[in-house]
Amino acid sequence: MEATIVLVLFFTFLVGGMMLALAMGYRSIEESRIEQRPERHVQPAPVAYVVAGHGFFESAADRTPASPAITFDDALLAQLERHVRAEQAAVSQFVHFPSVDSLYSSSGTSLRAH
Amino acid sequence: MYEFLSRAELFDGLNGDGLRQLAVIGRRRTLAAGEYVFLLGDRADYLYLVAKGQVDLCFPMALGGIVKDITVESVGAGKALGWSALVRPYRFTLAARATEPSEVVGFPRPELLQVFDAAPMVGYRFVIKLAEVVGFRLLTFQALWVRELQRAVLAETQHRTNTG
Repeated sequence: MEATIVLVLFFTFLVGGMMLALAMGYRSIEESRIEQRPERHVQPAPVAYVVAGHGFFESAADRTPASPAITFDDALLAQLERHVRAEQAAVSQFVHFPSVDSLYSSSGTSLRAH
Repeated sequence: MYEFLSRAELFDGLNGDGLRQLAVIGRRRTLAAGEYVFLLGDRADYLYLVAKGQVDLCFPMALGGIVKDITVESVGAGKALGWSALVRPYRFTLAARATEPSEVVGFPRPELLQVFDAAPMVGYRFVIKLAEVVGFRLLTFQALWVRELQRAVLAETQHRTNTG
């Protein structure tokens, strides 16, 4: 009886030791792989702007420009608004009377200055 | 309030009881010229009707780190603003800004839905009109997008023709 217990304990320790050795070996292999892996540097995405205010126009002065070389052209914005309004008017005909002709009816404006 | 609601496009066809229930939950808000009713991305908890003045619907144009708003539609008295309050994810997709001293009436979503639960016919008529407003907007932007695509294709075709 005592011999059986001793035998069971012996095999338990033997199997446990083998498992521990395997786990430690796997861990050391993984660590060496990580060490050999080349470093990869990630460039953070450029921040477009920092919103500090509430409205679009009011907060414009509080925003930090990411690219000061590009600025708003107010004349171009006015042209864009005129274009959008003219397009809306042209499109309203399509909404009420859908057809290919009304879809592509000319609004007489263009966004292209050149 | 009752008189105003009876003339609003969104409540066209509603009877006296329905309008009275809606008048109870409507909350007036006065706006100075240039004041925003809401901004793109804000939580849409209120559906608005313009009572007085004019409100511009704008989308933000970003350039060189600066954002400015471009007007896409002007909304006058009796017209609806902010149907996003009734459509998930309940966020405004445009900004709304008063272009002159104006007044809007806001209807909080929970109370609006309570009215519809209590009076399903009011909700039915309202949703039909709301579908018209949303459908109109969808068709408008669909057509604007198709026209810009057509211009892009035309420009590309001309470019390829010129470059041989």
